[in-house]
Amino acid sequence: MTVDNSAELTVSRVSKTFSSKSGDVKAINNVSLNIYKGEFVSLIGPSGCGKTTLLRLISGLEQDYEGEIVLEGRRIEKPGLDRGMIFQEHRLLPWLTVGANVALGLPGSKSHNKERVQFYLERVGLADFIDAYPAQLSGGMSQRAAIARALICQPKVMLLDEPFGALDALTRVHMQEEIEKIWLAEKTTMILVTHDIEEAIFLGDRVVVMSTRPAEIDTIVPVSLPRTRDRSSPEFVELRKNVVNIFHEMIGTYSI
Amino acid sequence: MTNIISTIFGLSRQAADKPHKRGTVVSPFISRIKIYANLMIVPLLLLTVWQILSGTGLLLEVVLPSPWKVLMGLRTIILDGTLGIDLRDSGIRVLVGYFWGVLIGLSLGLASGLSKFVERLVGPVVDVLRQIPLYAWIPLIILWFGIGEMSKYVIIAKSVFIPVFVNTLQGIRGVSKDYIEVSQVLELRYFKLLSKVVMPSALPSIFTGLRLGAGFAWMAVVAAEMLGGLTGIGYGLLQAKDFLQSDKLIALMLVIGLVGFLVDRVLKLAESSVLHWRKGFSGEK
Repeated sequence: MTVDNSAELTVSRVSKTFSSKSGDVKAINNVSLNIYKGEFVSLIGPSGCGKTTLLRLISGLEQDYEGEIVLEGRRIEKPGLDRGMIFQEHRLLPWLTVGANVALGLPGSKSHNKERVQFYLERVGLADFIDAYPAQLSGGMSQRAAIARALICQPKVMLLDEPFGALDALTRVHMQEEIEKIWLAEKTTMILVTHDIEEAIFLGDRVVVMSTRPAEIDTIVPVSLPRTRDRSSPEFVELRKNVVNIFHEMIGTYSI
Repeated sequence: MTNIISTIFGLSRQAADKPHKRGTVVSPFISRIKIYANLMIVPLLLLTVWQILSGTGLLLEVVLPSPWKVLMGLRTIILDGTLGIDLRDSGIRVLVGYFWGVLIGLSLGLASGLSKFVERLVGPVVDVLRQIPLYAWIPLIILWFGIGEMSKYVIIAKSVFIPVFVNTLQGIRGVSKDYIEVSQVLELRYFKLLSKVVMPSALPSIFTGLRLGAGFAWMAVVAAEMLGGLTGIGYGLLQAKDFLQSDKLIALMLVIGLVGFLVDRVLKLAESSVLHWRKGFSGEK
């Protein structure tokens, strides 16, 4: 792959192997991908394929990989505030109020940060819940608070690891629209790992289809439909069919 | 016997269910009375059995005095002031021993929890020492500290130290990796990591240690006072035995139980006010 200097995040020839007593497991094999500033990239693949591992490598929570992951010229070695992470579970600290959770990554005193916290809670639609405890929130609300906690640090890249996987179907669709609004407003680069094809197409500028383990990039599908996308439009349905076919072919070849 | 128990439980269950089935609203006053009634079932049952056993005349009064006789014994030791003195002296010993036990247990527990190196130094030693029962320690403690106040403090502090240390260490080790990852992603500094993530997460376990420690302290003081000295609840028990005053003996035992119970409830109250964010399982109706 040619080095592309205009890319914000470059993943080049990355492989990752986990060692355990029962032997080595290769999770990712030779993955290369350029991600551009302000882009929304969906990573999709069969469950357990290693797409989450790739995201965790970019976040720095997983280390010791082969190849290079470079964010604006610096090789990623450990976690940092320039990359926001949304986990599948909200991971709010139950002993802190929603406001204190959102302010967690900010330096400085509580009163000093109050306006910013208020601003980002408004952005995710939780303005009235600044003093509530996480136990008082629904699943969707908790995940929104987690998004505010990541956004407030103004990361260059937001990493979303199946963030809506644990939510019910209606809330999930609503959250997809919310995250698109946030993306349009903040212009943050976003990388979404999902196993929901519709979600991947609805949100992604590109849909990166990954193979079964060890994960390799199978196909990259550009999505040029205008936003906000209509899930029932013929173009959307067509794209969806294409991605499903890619999956069928891929799993077909692998099962032989 | 089992028939009596099941009848009592059966009746009380019926009483609790009926109003709901009819759809009438149960006033909070009535439901509170019901809760108290539930709480009284087992104590009243025990009291009844006790009264029956002591009333048959098969047992000598010195072996098992009647509940009434014990109540009178309690009245005597309250009125002649011996109970007050015993409680005061035991209480002071417990406070001193508990203070040192908590101080050492908490600081070593925190240090081991936060540093693998300290844990390697201290952990295995404590794990071996805590297998040695309290009664095996007592001869050595007496040899070293005599039978005065100091040995009592040491015995109590030693029994408090173990649960406080173990639970503090466990609490810190039990902090969820999920939260640690959040703190890594947010680049929390060490002090913030401790104050916002590690300590609040370990606090429930630390409180368990403090509560267990308080219980152990109260038990240890009685044991320590039976070894020597001229005051305290433990001494009072021995004296009651020597004079065959079984009514006073049982009265003292009940006092020990009640005081321990009250101390535990107070700590539990403190715990739930500190850990107000926690919504645990409170049990079925």
